[in-house]
Amino acid sequence: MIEVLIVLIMTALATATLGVFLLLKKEVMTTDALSHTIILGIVLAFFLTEDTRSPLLILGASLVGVLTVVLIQWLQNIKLIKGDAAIGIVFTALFALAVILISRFLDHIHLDLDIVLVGEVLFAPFNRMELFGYSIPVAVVQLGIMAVINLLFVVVFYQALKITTFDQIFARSIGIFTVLIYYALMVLVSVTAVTAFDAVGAILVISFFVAPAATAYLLADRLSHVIMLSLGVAVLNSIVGFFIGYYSDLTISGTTASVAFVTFTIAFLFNKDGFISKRVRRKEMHSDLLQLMMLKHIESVSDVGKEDVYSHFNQSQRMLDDAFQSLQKRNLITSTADKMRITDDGVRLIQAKQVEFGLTTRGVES
Amino acid sequence: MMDILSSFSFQIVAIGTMILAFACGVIGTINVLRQNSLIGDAIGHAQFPGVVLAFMIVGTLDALSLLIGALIFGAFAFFVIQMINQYSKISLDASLALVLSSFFGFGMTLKSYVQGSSAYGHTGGIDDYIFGQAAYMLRADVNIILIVSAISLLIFIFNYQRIKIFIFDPVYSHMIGNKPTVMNALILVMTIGLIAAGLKAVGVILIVNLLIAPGVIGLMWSKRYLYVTLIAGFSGLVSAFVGTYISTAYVGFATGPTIILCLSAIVLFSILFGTHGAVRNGLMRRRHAA
Amino acid sequence: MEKLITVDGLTVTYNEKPVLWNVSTSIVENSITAIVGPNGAGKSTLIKSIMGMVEPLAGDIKINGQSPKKMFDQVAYVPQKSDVDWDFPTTVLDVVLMGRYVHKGWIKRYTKADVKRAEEALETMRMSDFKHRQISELSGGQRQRVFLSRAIAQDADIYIMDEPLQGIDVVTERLIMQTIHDLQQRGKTFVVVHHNLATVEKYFDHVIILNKEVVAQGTIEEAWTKENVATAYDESSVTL
Repeated sequence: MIEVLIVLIMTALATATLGVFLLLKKEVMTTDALSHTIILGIVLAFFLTEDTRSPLLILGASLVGVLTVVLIQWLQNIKLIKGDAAIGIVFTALFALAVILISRFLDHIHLDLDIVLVGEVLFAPFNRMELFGYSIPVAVVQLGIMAVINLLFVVVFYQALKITTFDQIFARSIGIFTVLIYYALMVLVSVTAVTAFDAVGAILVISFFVAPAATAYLLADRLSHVIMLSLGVAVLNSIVGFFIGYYSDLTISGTTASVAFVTFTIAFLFNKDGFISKRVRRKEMHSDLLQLMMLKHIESVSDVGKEDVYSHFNQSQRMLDDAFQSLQKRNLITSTADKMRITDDGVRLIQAKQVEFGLTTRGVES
Repeated sequence: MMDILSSFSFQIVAIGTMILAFACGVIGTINVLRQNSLIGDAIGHAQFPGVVLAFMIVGTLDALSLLIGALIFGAFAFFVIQMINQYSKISLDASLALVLSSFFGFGMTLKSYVQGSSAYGHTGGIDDYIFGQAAYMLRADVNIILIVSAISLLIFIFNYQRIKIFIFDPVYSHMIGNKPTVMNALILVMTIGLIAAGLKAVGVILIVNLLIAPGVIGLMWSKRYLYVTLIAGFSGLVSAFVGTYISTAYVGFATGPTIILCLSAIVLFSILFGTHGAVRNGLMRRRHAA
Repeated sequence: MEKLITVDGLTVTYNEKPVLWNVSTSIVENSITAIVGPNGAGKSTLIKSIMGMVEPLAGDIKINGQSPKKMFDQVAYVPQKSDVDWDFPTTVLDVVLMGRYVHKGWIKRYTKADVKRAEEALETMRMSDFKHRQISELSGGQRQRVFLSRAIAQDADIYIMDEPLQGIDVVTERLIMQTIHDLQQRGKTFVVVHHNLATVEKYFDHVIILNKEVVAQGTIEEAWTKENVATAYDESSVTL
């Protein structure tokens, strides 16, 4: 059981490291494409080796993954079709080819479609190897190596990756081989997706690439922090997903993807610039501004009646009442027998605000 | 050859896929032009938990209730994508991928629950929603495809000028009285409907292809929206017919993937040799490349 | 002179910051009015409000005494070039026909008369030879002419234009301004967002100087002074 968890965590670490850059370079859907087409690579390599456990499968699949990226890039470069359409036509075609090759020539081999799509991390420990006298699941070794390679790649090329991601043209101008960096990244993505394939499948590996990165991106501001946080989130998702899946007898990759969405949603709602704080802040600012506009209106049309003020604004009765009462409470207006007038405090506030909003200060005249 | 053409099962499958492919070609072109092609990919995958939930509630694989489940989750997924775009700095491609994989993962979780529980009956067939099983298409499936396609195409025809102006010049469209929210909803209803209707018959990957490839073909042959749309619709229709024929005549050619390959062959030919393709435009010499 | 459009106490916010601040102004019938002001002054927001495309926080806009949303067929709009998808598969004539849209019933089928009107509009802008061209093949000046043709085909009384002279050739600039003056003779009214301070006096008879609020407005003689422009652009000296 602990081996299963280790496989899952290794998958999460290997994918999340690269995921941050995929997210920032807007290449996540390209990754979705290549994670589908590596199935074609596995099938083609199988024709050559006739062995489902041959390391050549990883090589073949990675090659097709890279080929997918090359094709998409070529279509995008000739500028006849838009980038997203290029992704869509390339991956569906190669995926369809894979399905037909399987059904036509590999009918005798049972291929569980569920495992193709979502993998089965529980099976990972069955395939074992000897290392330093210990029997270890092959998946742990493979994914462990990938995690280390990806991490090394990010650490060694950190500055180049950072500049390329931020400003490709500037990067090129200072002599960074942006194309090389891009393909190196996509090769690693391919190989990682292939290695993670048995455990989490073609579709859910996307969740592993993107969800922790997106969560961390909402919570941290500096690139290095985003990367570290995404690793932490990835491990957390895996542990929670594992225990839910394992003890409820559900597909573990599925529960991990579901948990990953929950963590993302929490970050989305509650981060300091997130949905809830944005809504609250917007409401506060809206009511501040409404009060100010009311004040301004009362200033320009003195001795105005309440009804006249209200009819000037396209706001709900409640918003207007709140604003009106607040203005009275703050002594910015005086209201006597339905005639309103601005106070000296009110005039000063308007002047201050006009400066704050960068308006010409002709308000001083009044 | 006549044997195949006159066989009832071929006719059912051919009619179902041809109508679906035509409608997807026409409607998909809108999304291709708006650079929103992959919305179909995200929504198609995200509808899967809706299908499983509908099965859990109804207890059978009744086509109509599964359709409703798919529709609800399709709309929900779109709503989530919109919220992420509006209220965070996550880019569109990342939010599509996030929703796609998370919802699908949730669907697979639900499915593993259903399969592990004795409370539910036979679940064979749920998988069809991923890869599709066009060869086993039933009369009821064709009826649903027919109705949804007809509704989508009617919406399209009645709003043709509106949609055209909206894609080309959204600000002008708004100015002459077409609210952007209404226009977006219109396009979304057609797209989600077609995906949900076609999911079981042809699977999500084929739907994605049907929504994108015909539009790309159309754009390689014409620079007039009406013709682009018609070329898209008919190239979908022809590919569906040929694909269904091949898959019926030869063993081992699943219908959905075969249709994709037919369409892909036309796409490749069109991109290279279309009147607005690469060769005619001298793009093969990388004149405008990069 | 009659006030055709009145704007009263208009406040529009974006991200809870005021883009327009208590703007009261008016457009005189049969005038050619320039809206000038620095970047971020709210020029585009003002014209979008006049077209009923923006929900204001406060204030009121009337076109001929009516709400803008009821008057959209009487207002022709020439957009900024960047707002449009230039790869869209459509021809010049097709784009101009869009101007006839507002006069059509529910299904919006164009008739022979609509096509004739569109062709006349293209003739006015000397674009007849281009009517079957795909729009992506046009130059910047030609694109602007197509948009003005579309507005003409709409047969509206009011023309609203967002920087129509930005980035176009001299010939087109002269042609556009000539057409605008011709149409003025036929009773039309023009509201034009304009960026080139040097040509305001030459091309326009009224001006609204804007910087989130109205700095000055009126006829060119009244409002177009160095002081007013300097106030709007927040600079001590401005060469006109």
